[in-house]
Amino acid sequence: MPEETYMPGSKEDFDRLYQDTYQLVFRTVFAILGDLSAAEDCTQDAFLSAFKAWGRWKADAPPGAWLHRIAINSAISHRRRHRIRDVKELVRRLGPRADPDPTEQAHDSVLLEELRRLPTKQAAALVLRHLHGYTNREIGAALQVPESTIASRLMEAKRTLRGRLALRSDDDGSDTSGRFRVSSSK
Amino acid sequence: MIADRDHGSGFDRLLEAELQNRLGGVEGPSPEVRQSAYQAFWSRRRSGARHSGIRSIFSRTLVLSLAAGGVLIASGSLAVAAGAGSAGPNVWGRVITTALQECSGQLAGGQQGVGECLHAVATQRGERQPAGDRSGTSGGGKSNDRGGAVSPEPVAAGVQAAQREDAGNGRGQGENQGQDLNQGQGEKQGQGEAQNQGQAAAQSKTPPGQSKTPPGQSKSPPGQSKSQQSSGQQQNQGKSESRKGGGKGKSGGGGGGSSHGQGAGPSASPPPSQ
Repeated sequence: MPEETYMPGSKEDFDRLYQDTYQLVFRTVFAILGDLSAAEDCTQDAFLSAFKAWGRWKADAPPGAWLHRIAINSAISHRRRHRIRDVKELVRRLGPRADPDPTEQAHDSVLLEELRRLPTKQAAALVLRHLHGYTNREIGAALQVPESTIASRLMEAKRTLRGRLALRSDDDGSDTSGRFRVSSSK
Repeated sequence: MIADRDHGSGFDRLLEAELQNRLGGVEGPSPEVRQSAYQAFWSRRRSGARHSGIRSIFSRTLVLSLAAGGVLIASGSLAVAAGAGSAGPNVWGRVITTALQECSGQLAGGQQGVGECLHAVATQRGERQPAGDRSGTSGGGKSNDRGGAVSPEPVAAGVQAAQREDAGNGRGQGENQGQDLNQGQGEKQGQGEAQNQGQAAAQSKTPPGQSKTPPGQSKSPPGQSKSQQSSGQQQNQGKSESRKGGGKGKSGGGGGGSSHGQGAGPSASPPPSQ
């Protein structure tokens, strides 16, 4: 994370913050949603919300962490809306849902598939921890939850992920991910 | 435990490598500030603020103009109304016509000064009339209050009417008054008569003003009083007694009622109010 100083309420500083953190936030949201266009929308929504609250931002937390919290909340909202839309679509068609657009799933993998099936908060903690390299304390500050909560979320997420990956490799009879042949027994 | 930690750390490493491999190269669209949603919001808000500033200036001017116009119109109307003593143009017209006639009458032929006279009348009227209007209004209220204070009930109204009538005659017309009461009051009047019947013996020497007990306070059943009324003897007694009471002026009304049952009715009614 770039450690720069920003003046709350300053438009120029927010522009700088946007350029510095856009890709990081976008990756986080994409890791959670797995949809490029949805990730872009959520990222833009997150920056818009952040801009509206920019005058009230306090410099006691890194702005990147603050932005990530807003972006994760935006992703959670998007997921909720998407689920409702899926249910409505299913009811409307009374049949199986259509396959996702392959162009929208360009970066999919078994691991990412399973990561996106996790609860959003757990997935966010995993991404912030293992993709962006935040410490548990920083993630806790970003998401405004205790550090212990982040630790338990991470533990739960990994356990679930391991179990599901193991099940998939057993079902397929092969190592689907190539690198995630792990035992489900701890 | 150590194995678990190793296993966990191995999984963490694999997880990080996979995430970096799959997501590290992911690039969103160009983060151009001018293409961002917040920039559009900011521009919109800025132009909106500019427009709203102009709009607010216009609207403020418009509101001020309207308010000034309204104040002018209202003050003009008030001045006219104050001069006429009323807001109605008909009233003002009548006032002026009358004043003109009076002034013309006062002035000798060919003499000038109608304008001054009219002005004096209008000024006088304007000063006097609103106060008069106010007192007239309050007077009406008073008279209404008086009417309400008597009693809204037909019983009390009937008694008062009988009393007034009796006072006007100077002599009590007991039977007639009783009939008046009956006409106006129906069954309640019967109750009043029953009460008065009970009081009659004791009231023979009471002052006239004490026989004003409202008939509605009677506790005797209406049927009883009606049956007592129907006896001719009682009516005769009532007549004679009422004449006595009639000689005492205002008590004739009450005497009229009491005369019907003197010496005949059971005195179940309460004592007359003082």
